[in-house]
Amino acid sequence: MVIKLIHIKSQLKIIKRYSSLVFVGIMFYAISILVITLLSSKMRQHHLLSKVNFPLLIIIISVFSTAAMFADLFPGKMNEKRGYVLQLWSLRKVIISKNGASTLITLLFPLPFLVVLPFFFHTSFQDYLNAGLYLITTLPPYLIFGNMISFSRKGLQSTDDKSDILPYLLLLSICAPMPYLVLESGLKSSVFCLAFFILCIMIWYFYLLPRYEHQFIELLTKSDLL
Amino acid sequence: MNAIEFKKLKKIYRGKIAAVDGIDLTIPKSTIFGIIGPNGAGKSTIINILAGLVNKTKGEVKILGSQIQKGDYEYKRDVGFVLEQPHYIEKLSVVEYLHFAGTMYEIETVEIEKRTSELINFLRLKEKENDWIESYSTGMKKKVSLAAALIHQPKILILDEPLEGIDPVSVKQIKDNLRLMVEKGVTVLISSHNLDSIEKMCDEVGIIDKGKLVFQAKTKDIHQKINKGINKEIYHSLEDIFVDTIIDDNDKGNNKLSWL
Repeated sequence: MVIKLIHIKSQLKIIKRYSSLVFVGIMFYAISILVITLLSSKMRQHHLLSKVNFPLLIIIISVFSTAAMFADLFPGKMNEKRGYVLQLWSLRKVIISKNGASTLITLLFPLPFLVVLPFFFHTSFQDYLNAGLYLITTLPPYLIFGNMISFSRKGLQSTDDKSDILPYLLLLSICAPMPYLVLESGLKSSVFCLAFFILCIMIWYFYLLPRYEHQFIELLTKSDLL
Repeated sequence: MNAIEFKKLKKIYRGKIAAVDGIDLTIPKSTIFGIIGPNGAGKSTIINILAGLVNKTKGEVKILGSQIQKGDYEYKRDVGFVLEQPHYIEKLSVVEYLHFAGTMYEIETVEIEKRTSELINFLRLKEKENDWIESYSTGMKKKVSLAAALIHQPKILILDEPLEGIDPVSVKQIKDNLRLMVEKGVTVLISSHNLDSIEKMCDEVGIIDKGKLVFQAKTKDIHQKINKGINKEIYHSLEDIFVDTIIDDNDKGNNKLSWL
């Protein structure tokens, strides 16, 4: 199965239109600038500025801001979702592209900060490495459990009103950093972080993806949802 | 080989409501077959079964000779659907949506662009081609759905009320082109309440009532029978046959309002 750039491009366009991406982007930059400004002035007073890992902080805000996209892969009305049932051979490509596009957005949002930060603050290679490790340990829970929310009955039934899935998303946002806290902060092992990422991606692709597809078809062909 | 076949097709909702009740129907290739029936007769359920949106309870469905089972989808590569509730993506323009649909059907990009441009001109959507579909009128949305059903050059077209809300010029063009497509081997199954259109457009007509196929005839045979009379009644159009088939003697007293 080949995922072409055009698939990701289409999904980026759809995500942008449905998820108020401009608003999310503005919020991300506003929160990031606010946090950096407040934290830097506070830490400068206590001469602890070098202790702050700014790249990690930016990645944490970025992942938190864009997490909802993994839990709402199919926004829009029920008939729009049903359109995918007519082209089921492409459903897997659509799911992968949607997750790919969401991941890309999570990576692109903090990029300008990550480039500019070394010019203003002391940042080491280790800071960037930790930010990267946070990203690869936090994205898998969003991918697995976020998609689980997305393919649940409530997730697929939700249109503009997301209140049904909000509590689950909140719980996920609290729990998602756990692997990083255990593997990196606790065990201090980058290898474990990488192994965790690869294992999760494999579980998602080979085990969960076919199940999500099946669930999507089952729920959308239920007569009571028609 | 027939295009579509139903054998004792049944769909029962919630264990008791029979929306489709043992339909046997064969639709040969290169024909336009019209399904008509009153509201709730089971027409849309039949179309949703073909689209894989509703699972049949019993019976057989064959498309181009292959039996369709729950979860099958490869046959849909040869079928174009316009459903009662169209399935476009509202926040895309028609150009973007047709590109997306073409990609889903795995058509080459150059070919998608060519077909998109032709479909937009043919369906007279040029003026609003860059506006989001959500801003379109009902008729324009139907056109978008029809365009998406045609983009992959289907062998079978399944249309549920496809002409509803569409302007007369486009209706004429669509009808003419459906005939051209049928001459090239495409089969069209069309469900509609517009009996006049069905009578003029279709090669064969089936009337469905309470989930059963209660009448089936070739339109040329219907035209021969009209004016000659069937069952000692004089018919002037398909509408007369339809009303006579659907309304039984007990209902005939209910066709007037006493205070008007």
